[in-house]
Amino acid sequence: MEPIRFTLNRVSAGRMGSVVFQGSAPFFTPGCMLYAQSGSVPHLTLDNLQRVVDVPWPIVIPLQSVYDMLKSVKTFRKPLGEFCGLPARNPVIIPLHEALREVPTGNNDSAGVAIWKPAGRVRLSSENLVELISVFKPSAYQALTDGDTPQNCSNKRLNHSVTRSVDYLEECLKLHGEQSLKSGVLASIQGGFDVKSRKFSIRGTLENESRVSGYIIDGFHYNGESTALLNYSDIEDVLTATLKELPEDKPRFMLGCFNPDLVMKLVEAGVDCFDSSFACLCSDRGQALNFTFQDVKLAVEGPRYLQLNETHYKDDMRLISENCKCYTCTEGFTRAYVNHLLVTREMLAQVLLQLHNLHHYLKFFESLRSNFSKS
Amino acid sequence: MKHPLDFHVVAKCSTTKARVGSLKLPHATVSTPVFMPVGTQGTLKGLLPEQIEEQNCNLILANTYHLGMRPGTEVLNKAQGLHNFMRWKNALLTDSGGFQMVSLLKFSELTEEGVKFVSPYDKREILLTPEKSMEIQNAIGADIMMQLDDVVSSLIDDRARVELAMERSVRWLDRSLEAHRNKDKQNLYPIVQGGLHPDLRKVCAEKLLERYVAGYAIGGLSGGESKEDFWRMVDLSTDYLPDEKPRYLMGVGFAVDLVVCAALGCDQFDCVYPTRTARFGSALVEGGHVLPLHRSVYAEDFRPIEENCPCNTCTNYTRAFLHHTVRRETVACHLVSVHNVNFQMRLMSSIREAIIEDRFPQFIRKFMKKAYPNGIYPAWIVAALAKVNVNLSAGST
Repeated sequence: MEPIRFTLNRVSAGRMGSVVFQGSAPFFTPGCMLYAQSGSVPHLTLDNLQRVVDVPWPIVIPLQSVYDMLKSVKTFRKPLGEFCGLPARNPVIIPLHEALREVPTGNNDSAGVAIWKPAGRVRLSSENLVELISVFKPSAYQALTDGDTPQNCSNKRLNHSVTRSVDYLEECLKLHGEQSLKSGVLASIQGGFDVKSRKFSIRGTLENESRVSGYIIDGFHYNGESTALLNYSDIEDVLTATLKELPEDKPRFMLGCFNPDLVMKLVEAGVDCFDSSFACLCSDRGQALNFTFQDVKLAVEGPRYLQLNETHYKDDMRLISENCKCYTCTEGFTRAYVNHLLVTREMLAQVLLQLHNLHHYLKFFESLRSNFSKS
Repeated sequence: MKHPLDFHVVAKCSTTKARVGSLKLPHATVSTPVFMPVGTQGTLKGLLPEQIEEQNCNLILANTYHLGMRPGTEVLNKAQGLHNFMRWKNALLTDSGGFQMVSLLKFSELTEEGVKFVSPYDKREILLTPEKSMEIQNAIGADIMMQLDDVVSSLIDDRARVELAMERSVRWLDRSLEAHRNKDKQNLYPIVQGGLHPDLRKVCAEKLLERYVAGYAIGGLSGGESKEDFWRMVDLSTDYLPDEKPRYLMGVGFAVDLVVCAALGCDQFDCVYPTRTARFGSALVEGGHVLPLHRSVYAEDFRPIEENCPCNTCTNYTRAFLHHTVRRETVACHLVSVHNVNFQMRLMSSIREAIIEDRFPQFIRKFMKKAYPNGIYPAWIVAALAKVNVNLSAGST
């Protein structure tokens, strides 16, 4: 069975398709995978996650947050997803870095790529990564890559990022093949904000086209909160030039906490797979998403969220969003109550916000898809 | 006027003072002896109301002092009470704020009028009087409220101070009863005080018995006093209180203490322990033992926290997974809290079952063997149980 089967149904302004991870139910694109840290969607126990989505649902579990689980999972002898309490058939995608934690710049060198596990920094080689993957057995993983390309970085850094990433891919694929791993390999396209470097990265990557299951467009941000401020105009030229060079037949991933405005543009540009870290970021910041998307083109007007820890919500007995079908709103939790939980620093605040925000963000993707089918 | 509380004893242990009761409150009918998890700020540490219910819990605690500070009575009134505000359909009990006199002592100043607190949040001064406590508790709308009492540390040596506190607490009870504005929907429990002085406890209980109330709390304990003093005060307090009304022993929640104090005739208990300890990654298991899940011995332990526990945590997660996530992810707190609340509820249910089937003494002996596998029982447990005719060594080999 191929690790990832991608079906492209339609291309107009953007692409509509579906991804089947190792025989799972189709995941429709443009689509939003769940974002996890340490094997759980932040703040949501499995029963609470099921109040938002029907699992199995593809879930992104960054390597840095589960690195220390290696020995345990090895003894457990079942894949990482099951170790983390997920249903056996739940697709797990492992990228290197957590979307919500900034990757400090300047730590990658010829010895490997730095990742920050809970106990501190480690430099990862292709061997380390493939060993982890052979134990974790995800549906797909990000081949080792150096995405440390801040907007104004030197040409030398760009060059290192691109050439090392091409080499890492080659190494990972070799080791992957030797161990006959079943996971899909996601190749990262690097090159920062430089079209020439991007093209170079693609050319290098495509030398192994047949062994790659999808592409991660990387290196436009360094994770953490600042990602939410990324604007399409910052990346438009480089991104469109990059996507033009990529073969159509494989899914394109862009991971990170992207605001909905950016997501819309990325979808139009032809990106297929995203993750839900933006919803989580909002929950962590005390924000409840409330933008409308009946007509997605209009959706981008007006505020995107309520900042519920602001004092004026103290006695606001309205629901977060009147017509919202999420658990938090249908169960009648008010803005005032969430405000109280935020002010008193009670953990239920993030639980209720996450139930709402995740629902909202996923509905947003659903409406993007249905808009596509209408147009 | 009849209290909005209906208590009747369903079964009595033929050996100890333990009993099973049915406690009918406006929002739920509760089986006693019952453990009440503590949701200080109007939320039980990250759990949804539905998740609390799933542990077979239908009575939880909230805190008057904290809710009076935040969100305050205005918001609570506007929300039509805490039940509605926190979306909890079942029963609530509020403490009066008296305990914070001890726990936040350095922020408070005491007079006959009440306690003056300096808010640790915004340095505002508030005067908590019996009337003010009732006003807040009426706004919260709990099924059971506590009178504001003058709480002194159980470690205090000064008998005169303890006596004054006891007498003042009775005066404050009268003011509380007078100020109670919602008598058809909310019950008010007075609190037996008297520190570690048997005669003061007796006097206090007698005075309380002269008042018309729905149930009684036993207060001023679990404050670091010796276990010997503790059980004796519990024992004589339940002796003085009438059989037909519920007795709430404040601040008790360790499994061993629950078993002993149920045998001494207490019906209601509360403690932050199960949920607090969960946040540090400690899971409760049979016999009241604790698994400190952050320890490396659990890294490759693929069993659930407890083998036969029906909670969602034990159904879906292993100790090894929790080992890697406790003290890091809030999800791990929630998972261990769910289990710990479930543990407490199952413990109480097994106590009730044993009483109903009149095999509570056997239950106690079996439980204590689990709690102290080496067979060496603390003297206070042996003494307390002997007082209610349970010989711990009997039946053992």
